[in-house]
Amino acid sequence: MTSQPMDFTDYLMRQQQQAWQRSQIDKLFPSEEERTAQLARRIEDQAHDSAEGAAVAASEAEEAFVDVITEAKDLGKKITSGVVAPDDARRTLAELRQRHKKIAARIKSIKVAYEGAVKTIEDPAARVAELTSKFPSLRR
Amino acid sequence: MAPAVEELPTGQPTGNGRGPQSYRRPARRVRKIDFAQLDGLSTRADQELRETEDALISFMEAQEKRDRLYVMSRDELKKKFQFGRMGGAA
Repeated sequence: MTSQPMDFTDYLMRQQQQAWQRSQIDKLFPSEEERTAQLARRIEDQAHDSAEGAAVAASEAEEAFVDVITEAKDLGKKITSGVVAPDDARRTLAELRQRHKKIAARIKSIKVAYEGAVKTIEDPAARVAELTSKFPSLRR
Repeated sequence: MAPAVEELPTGQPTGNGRGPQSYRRPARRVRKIDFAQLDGLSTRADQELRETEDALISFMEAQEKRDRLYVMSRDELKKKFQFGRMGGAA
């Protein structure tokens, strides 16, 4: 068997093939830096989703507050003009109070979630460091 | 009054993400939430509910007074009527 000298096209093709193989190996076994970057991207994406979820929830809470204000005003007018029975008014008021309490409690949890998400978005690397120190398996 | 939550952005994302260089990529925008405004709304709702409660209390008190007045008048009328009948009999 005789070995023939490789021509330039073959050489280039082989180079390309090797580069492709290297990239496939890199994909299968990314470096630690790349893994950390991937984790940071995932965490940042999740934080963005959380922040957006908090914004939607806050917008709904705002509308719910406006509804409570409007309904309380209407009820006040009805009470003054005597078109609603005191017992019915009392029940409606208790229900409005309950709604107000629930919305106010929801705002608190929205704030916690939003602030956490914003902090992560501002510095995803810090969050990665925090998570990997808590869960070392994330490094693998 | 402006909404407490920033409207959804219509344009392209602006600027790059902060953080170390290796993590940088085009950033998604984070909508601002004005929690002070939400707190203000909560306080206003609470105030409105108190005013409505006060209106209900005033209404119930007034009604109670009216009821008492009606009972008093009725008792007075009853006494007068009985007195008149007794006087007539005597």
